[in-house]
Amino acid sequence: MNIENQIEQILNTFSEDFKTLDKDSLYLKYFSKTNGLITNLIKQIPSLSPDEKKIYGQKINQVSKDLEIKINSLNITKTTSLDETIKITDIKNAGHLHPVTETIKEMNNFFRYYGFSVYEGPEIETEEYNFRKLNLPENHPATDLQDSLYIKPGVLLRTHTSSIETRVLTNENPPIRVVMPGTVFRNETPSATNASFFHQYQGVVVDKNITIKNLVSTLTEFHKYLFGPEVVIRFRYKYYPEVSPGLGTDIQCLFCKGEGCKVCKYRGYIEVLGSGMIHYNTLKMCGIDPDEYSGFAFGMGLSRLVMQRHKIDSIKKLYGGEISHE
Amino acid sequence: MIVPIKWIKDYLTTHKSPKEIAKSFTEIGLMLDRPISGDVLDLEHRMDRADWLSILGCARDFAAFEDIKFSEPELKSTDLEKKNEVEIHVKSDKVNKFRTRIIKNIQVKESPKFIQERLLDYGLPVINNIVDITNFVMVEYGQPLHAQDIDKFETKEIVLRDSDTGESIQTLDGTTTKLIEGTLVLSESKKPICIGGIVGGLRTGVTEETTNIILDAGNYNQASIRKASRALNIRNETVSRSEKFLSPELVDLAIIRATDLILEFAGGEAFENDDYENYQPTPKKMTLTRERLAKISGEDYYFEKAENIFDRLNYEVISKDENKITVKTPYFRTDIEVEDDLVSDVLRIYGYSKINSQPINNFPPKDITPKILKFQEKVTELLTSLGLDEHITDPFLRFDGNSNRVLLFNSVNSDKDSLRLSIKETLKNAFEYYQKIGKDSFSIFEVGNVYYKKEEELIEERRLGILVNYKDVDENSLEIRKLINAILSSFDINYSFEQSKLGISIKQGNVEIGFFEANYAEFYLDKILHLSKFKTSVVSEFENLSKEDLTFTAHIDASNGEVIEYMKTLNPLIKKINFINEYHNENQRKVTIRFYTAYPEELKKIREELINNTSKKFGVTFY
Repeated sequence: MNIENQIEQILNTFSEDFKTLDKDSLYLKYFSKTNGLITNLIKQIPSLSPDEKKIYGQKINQVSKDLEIKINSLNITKTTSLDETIKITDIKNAGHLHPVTETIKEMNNFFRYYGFSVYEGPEIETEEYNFRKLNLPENHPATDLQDSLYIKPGVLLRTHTSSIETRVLTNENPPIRVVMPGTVFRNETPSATNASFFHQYQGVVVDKNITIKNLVSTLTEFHKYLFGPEVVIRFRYKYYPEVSPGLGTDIQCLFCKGEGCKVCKYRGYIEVLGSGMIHYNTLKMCGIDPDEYSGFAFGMGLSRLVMQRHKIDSIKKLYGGEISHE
Repeated sequence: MIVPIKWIKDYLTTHKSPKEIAKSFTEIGLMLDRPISGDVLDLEHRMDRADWLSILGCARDFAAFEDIKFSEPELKSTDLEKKNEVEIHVKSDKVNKFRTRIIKNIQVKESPKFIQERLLDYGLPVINNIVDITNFVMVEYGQPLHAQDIDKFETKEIVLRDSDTGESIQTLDGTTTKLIEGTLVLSESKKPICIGGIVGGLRTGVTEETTNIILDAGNYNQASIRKASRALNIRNETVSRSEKFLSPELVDLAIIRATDLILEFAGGEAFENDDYENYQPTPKKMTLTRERLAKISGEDYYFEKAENIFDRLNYEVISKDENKITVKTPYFRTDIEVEDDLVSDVLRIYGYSKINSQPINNFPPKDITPKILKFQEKVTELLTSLGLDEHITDPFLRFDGNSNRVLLFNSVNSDKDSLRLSIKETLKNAFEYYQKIGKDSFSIFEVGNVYYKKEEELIEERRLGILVNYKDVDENSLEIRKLINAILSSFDINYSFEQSKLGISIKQGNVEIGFFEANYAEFYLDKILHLSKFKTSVVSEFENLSKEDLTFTAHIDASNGEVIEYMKTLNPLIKKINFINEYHNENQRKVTIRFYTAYPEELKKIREELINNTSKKFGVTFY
C-alpha cells in the first residue's frame, strides 16, 4: 500500500476510534514505540525516495501532531472543572507555626527594625541571675510574686525572662539593645488562666543617654504596631524591684473605649506590660557603671495576648497539644 | 488595698468623683483593680510600699499628687504615767521594737458608728469597741495592734521568745494551731498567748467582761513572719502587714492613736508600760542632683519642681542649691533605696501622663543574636514548608524514678514534678489529642529543651522532635526517614544510621546528631547547627550528567549513609550518588540509589565496580 493510502486509512480509523477509545488506548494504538500506527508510518520515511520524502515527510509529521493534540485534548473536553484534573491529595499543604512562635516572630520583626538583637539564656537558672542581680535580696517580699520551682537549693527553673536580662547585662558590653522571648516556669496549680509553663517577652536597652522618654517612645511605637495606630496607651507608676522608676503600660479597652466592661474587668484599660529604667543596683551588680550608662527594660506575658488573638480559652490547650490547624 | 473614699476624706478634702479619684490613684501606682462599688476602691498593692497598706499612706500620696492639704489625726495621750505592771522580756532576735500600754477600768461595748462604718466598708467584721479600735488603727496606720485581758494572766510578765518543740496555741478563732519550732511567740506563765505578728490567742482575748487590758504593738523581722505564716498557713490583715518592711516608728504612733480612741470610746485610765527597742532608725539622708534627675528623665525642668514635690510627700528638705537637694526621707518610706527612687517620686507626683516621648537617637549596636536562634528560625521555616505543624508542649511530667531525670523538689503538682528527657514524652500529648478528635493523618514538630542529669551537672539541651502519622501509607517509619533525609540534606549533612538503645541513631561520622524510632525522630539542634553548611546549590555551569539506578537488598539495620559514602570513594568519575527510596520486607530492605557521571561511556565500568566492591564490603545483594 502506498504511503498516501496508508495515511488516509489511518485518519479514517482514527475518526472512528476517537469516539470509542479512551486516551490511553488511543495513545497505545497510534503512538506505541513498538507498533503504533503513526510510529510505523514514521519508520518508513527513511526508505522513501527523495521526492516522496519532501511531500510525505512533512505530511506525516503534520498528521502525527494533529492526532497527538486531539488525544491530549481528551482530558479537558471530558471534565467539567479544572480542579478535577488534579488530585488535591498530591499537594502537601504547608505547615503552621505555633501561635506563640508566630507572635514572637512578629514582635522580633518590629524590634529588629529598631536595631535590637534577639538573645536567650538558660531555663535552669541560679538564684543569683533570677533574683539577686534583679535587686531582689533574700527574703524580699517581692519574691512572693512568683512561686518558684526548685531543682536543688539555689537552682531553679527561671521564673521570668528577667533572668535573661541579667545574663545579657553581665555577658555583653554596652551599648546593648536586645529582646528576649522565652519560656518561664512557676509553681502553680494549673487553671484556665494560670499555668506552670508559659512565655514571656523581655526587652532591654543600655547605652549612654537613655532616658525614660526613650522608653515611652519605644513602647508607644510597639503598642501601635501590635494593636493598631488608633490604640490609646496609658502610662502609670508601677513598682518592680529591678527598675526605678518603674512604669506600667495599659491600653484602653478596645470594646468599651475606657468606659469599663466585662472584657477589661471594668477597669477600662487592659494591662499589657511592665517596664522601667533599669535599677541602679541591677546595672552595678551586672558589671555596668550606672553613672556612665543608663537603660530601660520591659517585660510582658505572651500567653494571654496569644490566647486573645487566636480565641483560645484555656492556657492548658495552648501548651497541652490541644491545638490543630484545618 | 481597699480604700473607702469616706475614710480618706477624714484627712483631706476632694470634690472629685470616685472614678476620678481612682484615676489619680492608678497613675501614682495604686491601680484600680476591681469595679468601684459603693464608693469603695479596691487598689492593686505592689510589694514595695508598706505605707500603702494604710489609709493614711494612700491618702497622703493622693493629696501630694492632687496638691491638696492633708492632715493626720491629732495624737493626744503622748505623755502618760509609767507603771510597769507587766514586765516585758525579749528573748528572741526577731523583735525590733515592742511597746505596751495598760488601760484600766474600761467598758467593753459597741464601737462608735464612724468606726463601724469604716471597718465594714473596708471589709472587717465589727466585734466590740476594743477589738474594733485595734483593727481601725491597724488599717489607718498600717501597724497591727493587739489587746489582751490582763486579768486572765497568771503572772505579770510577757516573754517574747521562739517557740519550743511541741507547743501549740488556741487562736482567736478557736482553732488549735501546732507551732513550728522557732516561731516567735508572746508567752505568759510559760504558755504562748499570741503568735507574734501573726494572730492573737483565745485565752487572754478581750471579751465583754474585760475591764483591764494591755495593749501592744510590735515591729518584727518581716522575713521570719512571712516564713512562719506560710508554714502555719495563716493569712490575715495582721500578717499581710507585719511581713512587709514596716517602719518601727509606727509602733509609737499606732499605740498612742489606739489609746486616744479607747479612752474616748471605752473610758478608763491609761498607763505607759515596759517596752523594748533594738533597731536602727529608718530616716535616711539622701541627695538628688540635677544631673541625675535629667539623666533619667531626659528633662532639666523637673529639678525646679523637686523641692515642692518632696515637701508634699513629707520629705524634710535639709539643704538646696542650684544643682542638688538634700533631704531626710520620711520615716514611713522604707522603700527608698537609691537616688533614682527620689527621681521616681518626682516623676510620679509630677505625673506619668506628662512624660514626653523621644525616639532613641543612638546608633544601633552590633547584632549579637546567637547563631543557634537564627538557625532555629530556619529549621522551623523548613519544617512548616515540609507540611509539619508546630507544637509547644509543657515539659513537665510525673517522676518515674529514672535517675537521669531532673526532679523538681517543691512542685505543688505531683503530675508535673519532673522534666522531660525527650521531646516525645510531651509531644505525644498532641498525638493523643489528634486521635481523640479523629484527625488520623498529621505530621507535627516541636523545638524545645530536654533536661537531664550528667553526674552532678544539670544539662538542658535544645532538640527538634518530629512525629508523623499518615493514614494512607504502608509504613510511617519510611515517612520519617524521608523527612530526616529532607531536613539533613537541606543543611547539606551526610548521615548514617546505627542501631542504639534509643532506637536508631542518626550519625554524621562518629557524631550522634539524633535518633529515630517508628514514627518519631529527634535531632540534637546544636550539633546540627555545628555541622550544617548553608550553601544553596546553584547550577552555574550545567553538566550533562548520565545516571543509572542500582537496587540492592540490605539488612534492616544496615546504614544507607555508610554504604553511599563508601560507594562515592570507588571511582573518581562518580559525580554524586543519591538515595532514591527503599522498601521494607521483614528483615530486608530493598534500597535504590542513583549514581551520576559526566562520562556516559564509563557507566558500565562504574556500575560493575560499585556492585563488586560494595557486595564484598557490606554483603549486600544487587539486582
